[in-house]
Amino acid sequence: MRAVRSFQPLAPWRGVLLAVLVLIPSFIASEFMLQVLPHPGFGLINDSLAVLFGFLFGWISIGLWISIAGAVVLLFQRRSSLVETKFRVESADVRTAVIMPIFREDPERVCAGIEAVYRSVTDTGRLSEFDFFILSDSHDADAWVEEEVAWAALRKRLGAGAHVFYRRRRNNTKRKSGNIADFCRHWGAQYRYMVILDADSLMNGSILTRLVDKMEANPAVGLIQTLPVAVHQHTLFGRVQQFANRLYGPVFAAGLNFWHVNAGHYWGHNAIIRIAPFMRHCGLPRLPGNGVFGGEIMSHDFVEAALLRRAGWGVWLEPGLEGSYEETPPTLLDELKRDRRWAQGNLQHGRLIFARGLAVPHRVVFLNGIMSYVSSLLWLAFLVLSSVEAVLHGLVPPRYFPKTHMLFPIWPVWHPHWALALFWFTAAILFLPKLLAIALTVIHGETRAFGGWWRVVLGVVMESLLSAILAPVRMLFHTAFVVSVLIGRKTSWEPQERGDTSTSWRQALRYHSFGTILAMVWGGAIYLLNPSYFWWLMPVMGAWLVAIPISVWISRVGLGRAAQRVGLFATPEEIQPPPLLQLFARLRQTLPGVRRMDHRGFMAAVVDPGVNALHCALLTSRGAIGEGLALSRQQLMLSALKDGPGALSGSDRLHLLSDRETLMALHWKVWALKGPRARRWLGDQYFRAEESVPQPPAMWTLVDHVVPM
Amino acid sequence: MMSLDVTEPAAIKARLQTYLRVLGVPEELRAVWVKTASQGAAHASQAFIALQALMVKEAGAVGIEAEDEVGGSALWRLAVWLGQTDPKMADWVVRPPFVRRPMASERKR
Repeated sequence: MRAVRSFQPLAPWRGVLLAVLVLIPSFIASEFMLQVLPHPGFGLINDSLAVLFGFLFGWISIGLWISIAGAVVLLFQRRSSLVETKFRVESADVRTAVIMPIFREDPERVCAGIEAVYRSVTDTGRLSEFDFFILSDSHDADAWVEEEVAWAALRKRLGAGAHVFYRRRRNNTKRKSGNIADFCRHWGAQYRYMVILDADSLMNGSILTRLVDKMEANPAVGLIQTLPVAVHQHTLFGRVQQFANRLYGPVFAAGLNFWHVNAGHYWGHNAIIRIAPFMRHCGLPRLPGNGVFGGEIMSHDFVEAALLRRAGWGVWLEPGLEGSYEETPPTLLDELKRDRRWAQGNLQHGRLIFARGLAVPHRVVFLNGIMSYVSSLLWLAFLVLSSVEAVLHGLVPPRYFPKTHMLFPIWPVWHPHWALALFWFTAAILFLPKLLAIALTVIHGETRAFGGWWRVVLGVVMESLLSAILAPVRMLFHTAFVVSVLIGRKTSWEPQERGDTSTSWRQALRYHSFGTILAMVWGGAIYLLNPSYFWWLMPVMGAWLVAIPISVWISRVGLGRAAQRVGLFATPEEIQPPPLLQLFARLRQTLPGVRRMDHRGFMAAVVDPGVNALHCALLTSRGAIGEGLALSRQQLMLSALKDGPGALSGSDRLHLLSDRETLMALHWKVWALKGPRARRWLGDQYFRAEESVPQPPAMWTLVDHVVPM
Repeated sequence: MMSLDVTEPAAIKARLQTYLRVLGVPEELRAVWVKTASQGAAHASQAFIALQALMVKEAGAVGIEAEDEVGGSALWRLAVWLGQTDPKMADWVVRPPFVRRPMASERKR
């Protein structure tokens, strides 16, 4: 417990300091807002506006103080708090599983990623310490088989002895957290650590071995989260996010590390976990109730980190380790789809904030996650209230003598220059972190890695403009997400969109029309009733008005490529890709397959001798089964043979794929079929092979077709 | 009820031949196995059962360990499909053995 204890006295003071730095200016800002609002105003509305503004000011200033702390840490190049052993202790016990939970991902991409990581670990000379697992939760028959085939090809490329394994869960309860827990239950006892990768994660061998060494040297640490750098973006939106992540991310992460110390963040991937305490303390419960706040914990990572820390294990964010990568959503709509899931997961944490024994920083992490979405609701409420106030001022004549027996009138007063000052001050809080990131890049001589100083500055200006346009759009969506969660609408578990997808005009119209219409109605009403206030609303209403074309244009790869050609939004990894990313790119282009037939998915598992062998080899023997079950499977097989694959539902296919004995029997039977039934399964290519064989008499063929079987 | 299977001997042989060719079985072995498996087979299903038995036997000969015949034939076919030479197949671990441990439930605390 050494590492935990040594930082315990320090962390609370940092927390108190951050609270003071945030709360006092928020209070002042709130008071200032009261002065800015027209006087005499509408008491309740003014008070509400001031309170809302105070909350929101505090919320954005947290980001500022995190960035300031991060900038100071990076400026003085403070070393990591976690010691790293120089003399590694060789031990057969120190085994690490690199696991990649997947759910209907592109299997070729998954295997290329694993192969790149595997080969990078090989280069470190410490491959024997690592095993690799692809842990599938895919519940689609075709996806399941395609994953297996991609994995088999990977094993073939890496050699027979490669310790890269594939496992699919039959029942994907508790989604990703259940998938990892299932791994722990089956194989966790054989490893000291696990490194969790997402399907789009990449980590090089050097960072993996360093993580293991850090865990070994810090026995009280339960989890180390790395800072993944965004890569492989080609759409304009993706490249802007990638640029922002690369430029601002390290500063922000260093700040998080400073404030949270050993009660840090865990983002669910690109992290190493000590398995034994994880298994002992991180079994997630089902929350009571069936609504959106009950059931399985959706955003499990924050909770697991909090539980580990509660049990006394350090949870560290280590932003200084290089060689950790991930991909980000390629379009605004893809990002928003992901946010819909995250919104539900984070709001669910509301039930856990006051859970017994959690460290305060982790309660703050929960609150922070909730505020990431609820703040949008508050911003919208602020806009609504301020609009109501403006309309009332436009419609209700001022009362110069609000009390009887007054000698002098009270003139309506409002200070637009004060309002402007508050606006610019708030904007400064939002933009200062970006300026700090630029300053650090210049000070550390890293601007060339981003394409030169002017490209950094231009990139930040353009990114800020785009952020300013997208912020109101995100606000509207996030508000809708929060409301839909609060009224009990659950989100389904869908695979994440990766790669170069673009938003069509139809999609943009479908998702952004509401905002556009709202802007026209709301903005139009304000313009008619209080034209001077209209201009204050323009940044928001204008963004909603242009959301449809902007969402489409920034999703285009062509614009992203054009920006890339002039070096705009460039990142060090894009200008000079590290060996791991180069290897991954090569693998993506030149992956040799293993197939000899054209069949894909379920059809391949039934027909292709190799794929069938692979699938059956991966299934365990069913052992003895009941007579009824055996009969139903027999019937399913017979119906498949007689009526062909088209007659099988998705569920039928999964049933057949899940039973080794039935699937293999079906395989042999399909290859023995004659006539059109054989063609349905084997296809013309292989059916034609029989044409060289002497044909039976015409009468026999006729009988074969007309006699019912 | 009429058989769904190919029954004509030449067609059975052709089907076996296609199967083994698609799998990637070497030509010499293919010729021997087609002949052996089709011998006396009244329909193609019988021939494929015989073929499976040949595979299981071959798997045992090259040291492939399997829990049963289904597993043996699957692993042998897998080795041939992936083009693995026989001695290397012993290293072809599909997945490491389970060492089951429970995840402690949070509900207990």
